[in-house]
Amino acid sequence: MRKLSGILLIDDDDTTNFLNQRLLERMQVTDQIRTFVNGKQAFDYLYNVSNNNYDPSNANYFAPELIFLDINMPVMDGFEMLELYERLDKDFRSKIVMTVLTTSTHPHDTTNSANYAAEYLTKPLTIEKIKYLFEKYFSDKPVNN
Amino acid sequence: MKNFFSNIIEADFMPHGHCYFWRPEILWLNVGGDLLIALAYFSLPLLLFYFARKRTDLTHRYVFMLFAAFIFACGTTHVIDIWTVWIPTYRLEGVVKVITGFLSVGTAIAVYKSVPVLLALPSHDQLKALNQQLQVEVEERRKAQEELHVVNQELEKRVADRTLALQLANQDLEKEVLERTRAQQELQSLNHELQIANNELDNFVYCASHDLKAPIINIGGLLDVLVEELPPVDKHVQHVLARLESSLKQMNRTIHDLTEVSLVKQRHEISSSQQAESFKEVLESVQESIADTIEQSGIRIMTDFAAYPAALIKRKDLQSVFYNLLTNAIKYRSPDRAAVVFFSIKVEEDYLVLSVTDNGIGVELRGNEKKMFSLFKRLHDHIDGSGVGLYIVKRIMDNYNGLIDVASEVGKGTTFILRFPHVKLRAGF
Repeated sequence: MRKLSGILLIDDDDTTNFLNQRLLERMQVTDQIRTFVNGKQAFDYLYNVSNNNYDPSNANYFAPELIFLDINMPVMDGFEMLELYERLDKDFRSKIVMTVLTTSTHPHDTTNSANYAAEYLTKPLTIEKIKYLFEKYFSDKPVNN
Repeated sequence: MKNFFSNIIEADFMPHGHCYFWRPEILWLNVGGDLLIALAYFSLPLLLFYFARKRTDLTHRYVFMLFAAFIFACGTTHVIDIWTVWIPTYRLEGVVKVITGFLSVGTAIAVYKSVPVLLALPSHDQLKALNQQLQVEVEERRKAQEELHVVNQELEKRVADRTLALQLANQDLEKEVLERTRAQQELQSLNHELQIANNELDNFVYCASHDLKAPIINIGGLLDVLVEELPPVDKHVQHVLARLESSLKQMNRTIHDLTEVSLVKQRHEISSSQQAESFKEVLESVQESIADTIEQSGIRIMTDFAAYPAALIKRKDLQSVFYNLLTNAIKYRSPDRAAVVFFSIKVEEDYLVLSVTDNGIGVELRGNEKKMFSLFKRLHDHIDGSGVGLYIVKRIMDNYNGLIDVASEVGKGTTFILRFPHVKLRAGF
């Protein structure tokens, strides 16, 4: 599998972020992973990155290629964030695969997700699910594995 | 002729008295008689005139007038008769008599013509009788009218009574209708509350299972990490870890089942796609999803969907039904024989009937049919299961206003019979 420029993990649960980050690091699919505990934090970050409003020398800032987004979060939930995200620069978004990662199988959430250009995965995140994503979205590029 | 009229008053004949030889007794007898007749004949026309003028309702006035003229003329002839006793103007007498004659003939003709009409004129007696009869009739009518009036009043009274009774009945009816409406409203409101409570319960179950899901998933992840990070462990620790994993699996399954239960109704309401699903195809998709379990169990799956190959049942519902009944047949298969499960469709008058028959261990029902379809109720305790599968099937059937029945014999097997109301499922083929 080729390495991605960066991955964002957006979940209010630290343990979830910890486990997912560990899994991604062990699979060595990227060198840059950032975690956020709500949609607001993540959106602010993406807003700055999309407007080049950051210091390129700062390793904490990068344009991600893959985002995992939880739905139920305090401050700003996943759908609210998706609503804002869709207003960001189109070119910027075209390089990102947005994936809703949730425990919810509620038809309300699944139908709602279908309204956005987002992949829908249920927790837990596993090696199989990551492989599935890479085969679906990143196989056109050479795989560095 | 000219002479006749110029000599009309010429008295050149013998006076009539000569015929009586001037004998006074004959002469005066004739003159007296004529005089009396003349007097009478002159007074009669006056009376007739008077009568004719006073009686305004006379239909033959001219007959009376003719009579008067004719009698007057007759009187005149008698006066002339007296006159000619002494003065012999016989020409004048002749003229007068001719005039009287014409008048008499005219009157006779007029009377003759009037006879039928005059005959038709009712006499006084006739009129009296008629009048009496009329009075009797009037009296009879009056009585009849009175009777009619009485009958009428009675009728009116009866109508009034009936109207009152009807009004009272109507009021009672209205009251009853009102009460029923109120009862119905109460029932509806209760039903509504029940539905809300039901939905809330579903929501609660969903939220609870959902909120439990995240930490349990995390525990699973953390356990994996722990196993990876731990240095090689001895048998005891391995045993504990294995138990921990098995407990987690069970918890996961329970939570998954709970979520499924809470979503049965929402899924039913939210998905609006109404396309016919093929029983064969959906069952195959379920078989694929649990291919490992099927292979391990060695169960043989037989089908006969020829009677009705597809129906307007939502795919998820059908998948859920097949999944739960198939896993049920696998779970409760008999160790003594090769397991077989038979899915079939038949059409009854009002229902589409799906039968699922296995040759498993069966179960002693004895009135436990209801319990079998309740949440977390299990009739076998030696085989693990969360007690949710059949409950989900039951709830799906409820959503379709369908029925579910079970027949079972220990050591022989079990048959589930699912009846879907037919009208709702008519697929367009």
